[in-house]
Parts: sequence; C-alpha cells; structure tokens
Amino acid sequence: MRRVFVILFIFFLPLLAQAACSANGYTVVFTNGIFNTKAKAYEDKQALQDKLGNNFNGQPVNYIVGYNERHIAGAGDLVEAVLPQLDQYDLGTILRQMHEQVQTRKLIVVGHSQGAMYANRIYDYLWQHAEPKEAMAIYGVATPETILQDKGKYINYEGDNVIYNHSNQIGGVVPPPFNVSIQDWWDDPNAKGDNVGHGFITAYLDNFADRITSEIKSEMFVLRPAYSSEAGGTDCFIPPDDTFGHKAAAVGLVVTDFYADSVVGIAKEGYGQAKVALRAGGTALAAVGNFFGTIASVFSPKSNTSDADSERALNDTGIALLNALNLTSLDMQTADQLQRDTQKKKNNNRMGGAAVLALVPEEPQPQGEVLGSTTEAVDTPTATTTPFPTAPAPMPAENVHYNAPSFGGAAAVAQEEEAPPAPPEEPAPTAAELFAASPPVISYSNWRGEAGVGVGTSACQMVTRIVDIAWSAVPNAAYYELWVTGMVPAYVADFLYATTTATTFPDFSFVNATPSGITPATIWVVARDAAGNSATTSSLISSALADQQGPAVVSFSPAIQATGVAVGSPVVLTYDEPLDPTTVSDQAFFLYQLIVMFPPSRVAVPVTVSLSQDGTAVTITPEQTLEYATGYSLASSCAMSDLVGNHPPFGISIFSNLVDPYFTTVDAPSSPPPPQEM
Amino acid sequence: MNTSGVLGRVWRWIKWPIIVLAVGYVALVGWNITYRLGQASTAEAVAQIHAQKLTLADVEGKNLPPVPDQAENDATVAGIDKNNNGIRDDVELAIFKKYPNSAKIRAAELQYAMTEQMFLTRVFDTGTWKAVAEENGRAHTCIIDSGANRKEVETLTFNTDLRTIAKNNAFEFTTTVGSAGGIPCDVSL
Repeated sequence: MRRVFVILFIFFLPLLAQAACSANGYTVVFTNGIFNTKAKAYEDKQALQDKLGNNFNGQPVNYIVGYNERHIAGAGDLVEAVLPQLDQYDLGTILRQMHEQVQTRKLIVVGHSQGAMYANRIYDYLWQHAEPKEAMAIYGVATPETILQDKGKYINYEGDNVIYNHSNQIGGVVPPPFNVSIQDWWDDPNAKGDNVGHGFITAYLDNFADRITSEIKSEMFVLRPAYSSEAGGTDCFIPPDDTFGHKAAAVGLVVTDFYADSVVGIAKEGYGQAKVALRAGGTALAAVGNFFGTIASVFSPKSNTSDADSERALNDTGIALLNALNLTSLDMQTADQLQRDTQKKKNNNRMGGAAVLALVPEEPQPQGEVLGSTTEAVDTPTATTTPFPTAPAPMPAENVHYNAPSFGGAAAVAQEEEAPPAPPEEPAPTAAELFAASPPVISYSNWRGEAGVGVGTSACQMVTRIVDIAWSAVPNAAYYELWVTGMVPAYVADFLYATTTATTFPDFSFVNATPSGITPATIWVVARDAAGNSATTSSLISSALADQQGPAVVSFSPAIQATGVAVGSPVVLTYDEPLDPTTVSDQAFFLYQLIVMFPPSRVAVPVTVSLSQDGTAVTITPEQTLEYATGYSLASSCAMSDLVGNHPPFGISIFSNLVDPYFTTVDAPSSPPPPQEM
Repeated sequence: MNTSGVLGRVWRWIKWPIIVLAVGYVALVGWNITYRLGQASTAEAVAQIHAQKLTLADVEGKNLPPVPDQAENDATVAGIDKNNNGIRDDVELAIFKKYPNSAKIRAAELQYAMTEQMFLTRVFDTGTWKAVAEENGRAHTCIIDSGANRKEVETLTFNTDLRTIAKNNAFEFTTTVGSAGGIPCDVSL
C-alpha cells in the first residue's frame, strides 16, 4: 500500500513542485569544463558558493550544480570540445534539468573552460525563451570562446597553458584575449597554481577570487527582470522539447556509455600500447595503437588497472585521434600534464563534461543587523513626495522637491515653494499625508572598499564599495526600496538595488571606482505603503560625502629614476593621507632587483616595512645590502588601503616592470691602489 | 488446397514474428514494472533522505556516542553510528571536541556531516544522489551562514581511501541539482 502512495506521489510530484518564478534573487548557472571529475565539478560549485555567499543585494542566493553526462567514458567530451554542435544533446538535457531548478528571473551563467561554451549556448537559449537579455549575464573563467553577451566578462589568465597553447587550435575556436597577465601572478607573493594553470579552483579561484567574485557580482548587480512582480507564472523559462530524437539519443548513449565504461576498467593494455606507439613517433600511430589496444582489452579479463590509468588511456585515445585528424596540436605529453592536475587526488581522475549551478531564492530576505551608531557626514534628508518609479526610470536630481500624492496613486501636482498656511478649519492630516511627511533619514557607517585582485598593472583597478546603511523607520511603511545611481559601469543609470522591510541594510555594495576615476554614486531609500503603488519620500546619500580616494604617493625617496643611490638606503614613500596600519606589512611592498639579460628578469629582495607614527610615511628597508650599479623596481599590493578602506587604484606598479628601474644604486667603489713599496 | 492447408502455411510464416513480438512485449512490460518499482524504491529512499534532520538534542550532545574503535570504524564505508542519528560517531565527536563552546558552528557542521555521510550510505541511483546533494546544498548554505568550515567536515568524513572511493562512486550519479528549499539550518541558533 505504501508503494501505491509513493507511486501516486511521483505521479503528482510535478504539480506539487511548481513554484513561482521570482523576481527576487539570482540564479547562476555554472558549467564545468572537461578534464574534471563529477565530484570535482560539485566541489567547484561549493568553492564558488563559499566565495560568492548566500546573499547578494539583500536577496537570497542558492546554488544548483548539474552535470552533462560524460559520454564514451570521457572521450565524448573531447569530441564535444572540438565540435560544439555535437553537444546539443547535453545542452538539451542541462536545460531540461535546469528548468526544474531555476526559480528566479535574474540569472547568470558562469562557465569554466569548455563549460564557458555551454554558458554561451545556455545564455543564447534562455534569452530567447525566458527573460530579456537585461535579466541574464554570462561570466567566463578560462574561456576558450568569446563570451556572447555584449558586456559579458571573463577571466583568462596568461599562465593558463590550456588556453595559451591549445584552445585556439582546437576546432577553430578562438579564445578572447588574456586579461590577467602572468606578471600579476608573478607579482603576487601568495600566488598559487597547478601544473597547467587551468583548474577552476587551483589556478583561478585560489589566485583571483576577489576579481572573479567582484566581476560576477557586478554582472549580477545590473540584472533586471522584465517586470518586478511575481505575476509571471511558475516557469522561469520554456525548456526545450523532449523530442523523439532526444529520447533516441538518450537510449543510444545509455548503450554506448555502458560499453565505454566497461572498457574504461580494463584499458591498461591499450594505454601502454598507445604510449609505446607515441614514443616511437607519430600521433596517428599512437591513435591506432591506443584504439586497438583498447578494443583488445574489452575481451581481456578485468585487470587491476586503476581508474586513473584506464581513463588516461581513453583520454589519450581522444587526444591522439584528434591529433591524427589534425584537429588539434595537443600532444600526448601535454595531455599527460593536463591529467596530472586531476590525478592529484586518488581516484579523482575522471574527465567530465559540464556542470550547472544555480542560485534559487526561496528564503526570506535578510532583515539585517542593527548597525553601529557611527554616522558619518550625511546629506540633509530631502523630502520627496512623488511616486517613485516602480521600474528603473530617471532619478530626480538632488534637492528637487516633488509633491506628495495621496495613497491610491493620485497624480503628482506641482507645488509652490511656499505653500500658504493651512486654514484652521482644515481637517487633521490623513495617514497618507503623515506618511509623506516622514522621510526616512538615511545614514551610513563602516564605509569600506575592496580592491581588485593581486598587484601589478591590472591590479586594484576595480574597487567594490561596501557600506552599511540604516534609515529611520517611516510610520505605516510596508517596505523600503534602495536605489542607486551613478555606479560603474556607466550604462547603468538607476537601479533598484533591493527591497526590504528592515530599516538597515548591511554590506550595501556597488562599484563606482575605476582607474579612470570615481563616479559619484547616490543611494536612495524609498518608503512605500502596503499597496506598494504609492511612494512617499526619499532621502539620499551623496557619495561625494565619503572619502573614496585611495592613498597616493606624494614623494619618493630615492626620487624616481634616481641614480647613484647608496646601497644601504631605505625607500621612503610619503602618502597624501594616513594608511591603515593593519594593511601595511612586509608583504605589502615588493622590491625587485632587475637582472639585465635576455630575457630580462628580476629577483625579489626581502624587505622590512614600517609605517610612521602619523601613518603617511612608509619605510621599506632591504634586509640585505643592495647590489652596486644595479637597477631596482618597486611594487605595492592592493591590500594596502587608507583608513576607510580605499586602495590605491594602481598601487605604484608603474615601477614593477622588468626593464625600467625605479632607482639605480651607486657604482662599486674602486678598490684602493696597493701600497707602494718604499 | 484446403483452407486448413492455407492457414497452416500462413501460420508458418507469421508464427515467429508474432512470437518475437509477444516475447518483446512481455519483456517490455516486465522491464516497465521493474522500472516503476525501482522508481518507487527511489522515491521512498528520497523521502527518507529529506526527512532526516538534525535535532537540538544532537547539537546539545544529549546522546553523544562513546568513542568508537577507530580500526573498526574505518573498516567499513558507513563506519559506526551508535546513537543512530545519521552522523558517524568519530565525526560527531571530533566536531564536539573542536567546538565545545559554539553550538551554532556545531549545529552547522553536524548537519553538513550528516549529509556528507549520506553520500556514502544512501546513494544508489541518480534520484538518491540528487536528494542527498539537495540536502547537502542546504547544509552548505547553513555552513556559510554560520561561519563554519565545511572543509574540515569533509576531511573528517572522507578519511579513508575506502570512503573516498565510495564518495566518487556516489558522484557517478551526478546530475543537475539545487539546494533543498526551506530554512538552511535544521537547528537555528
């Protein structure tokens, strides 16, 4: 009987599982690349969630990880990488599975490696079958393919050997330019890496987490659903039809994968033959040897071959076949190198396809903690009593006064600057009028900035501003809207940042600083009544009131491009404002001895860094005597900041190249002449 | 030629196709029944996975297990769970030992440990993997909210080659999955 109920439950589950597609919250679809295990794909999702967190913009974030089935024991994924059009089956599967999970209108696809190609296709499908492009975004990590979205961001690190050496040679796919130089990685004393610089965690997240999360958040930040109400139905997008062709392919792949997985366990002989053949020369011969060895092994008794060896065989087979067909120049040696990355963990060597993760908001909005009492300079709240736009619309200029509509949506009426006093017989103000007369007085505290990643020429460029916001409660207000305008990128005009019933909003973050300068940003709080269709007042906080400038060096000792500097001289930098002493450490500055040879290089000189009492002068003392007649360069870390968390936009990385010295030490003293014999 | 002779000749031609079709039909029906029963079995297991929750008593340590014999505990994938709360005893005790004064972190890590253990003991197909992953996603959300450390729980849970292999075997059933809905933490403190 219990089974009958269970079967009935299964039958009706789709009806029970339907939930509203919400305008509140974000969905991120993450697609993993090949050269990953299934467990690794899941771990990648976990790691990304660790970095991105559970909430953004006051809206909940939940994660979904998915996977497109590995086919032909991994070799199929390589084929997909070469011929992306063959991945339609997996794309359809991912989209159908996503359809059950995605419950938000705002969605970002994050793809790693081959997964970025999936990201492009998922994005391309979704905007045609769901929300407009403004509600969706893509972010690519180690992407072999240009991101489709107009303003889609990506991170390709110059030290990524897979992208650097091979992706542009596979199937004609051309990767976008590198946007993180290997110099940045070298400059970072805490840099980590794997064998090939391609792993999602080991190469990218471990080194560039700040940049990745900052850029993903900046993309999420500007997402706008087509409408903000919940009246859009239950489906967030229309899934692809489960066609007969798809079902037939599924059946076919079940059989194929079954046999391929069987082969995987007993392919050691094939692997060995492939290696012998390869070493003998000729990738085509290797392919043939590997292929026949693998086939032969099907009929062999199951050996003690580890999954590692057997899967290497299958993947080597794929690489060799691609070589034989002149589809790639990826050689076996490099393939081995790639695989070593995934073989670091025992039994963790399987290659895989794509993974999907999503953020689904079904949790209540955070109410926020009560902020500290510190209230920095705040604009005098300016009462505005006009309906605030329910959708993004031009924001009113500062200090512009508007008339108050009554609840119920009366049209705004121009108001004289000095209205005549109300006659004594005038009735008591209505609730709506009282509401309109009580602007939420906004204050903020804990203003801070977060730098970009690493140090060097591309470092510290994007600064995320974070501030805790609070405002006075407005009687009868049902909820509050936080709006922001003027943030970077410039095409974002006015943006409904969050809706909350609380009167505090911690960790309000936005980007308004780039190397080209600071864009004044304004944050607005709008109170609304229970009907939500009648705004009452707004207050503002001008970004100009807060210190947003990073510390800048006003004097250098030795002077820039000085020569003849004594070898025992410390470097003293004087800043235009005090630095946060907790951010100044021996690791915050890098002194390099330039090696003049071809190619030029440099050697880090250990230094001790101290900060003056007033916090404006940094003394960098070499822990070893400098070389005579030698050029030295200097770089600073993004971690260093002023007292409110502003980082130097560029550090002082202009001195961090390999050729131009910041200063040159004095020539070695000539040795005294030997004493003359008398 | 009489009628029976004609019928006999016709029957001789169509006999085998009909038999093949009939056998195929019976096989399909049999497969379908097996599949449906399998689905029911999966649904039952999925329901059990979603029903297993951490309790306040677990967080307060009101039923802490004795220290297990490590060799005996590590001899099997499942290990020892004397107090039968879904958390392996050695993991449970290690969490209590590390966080004796933080019930919040303990609660998050115990919940996460419970779901990690499920990867080892409850997964037998895609449906069960998905259910465990959904609960694991919810527990992970709780971990982040609580400022706990999921890595140390994973290290404790997958502490032997046997368990690492079992975990990887379970992940062979990986599919698209999201976090289970509802409040992230079973025990909110």
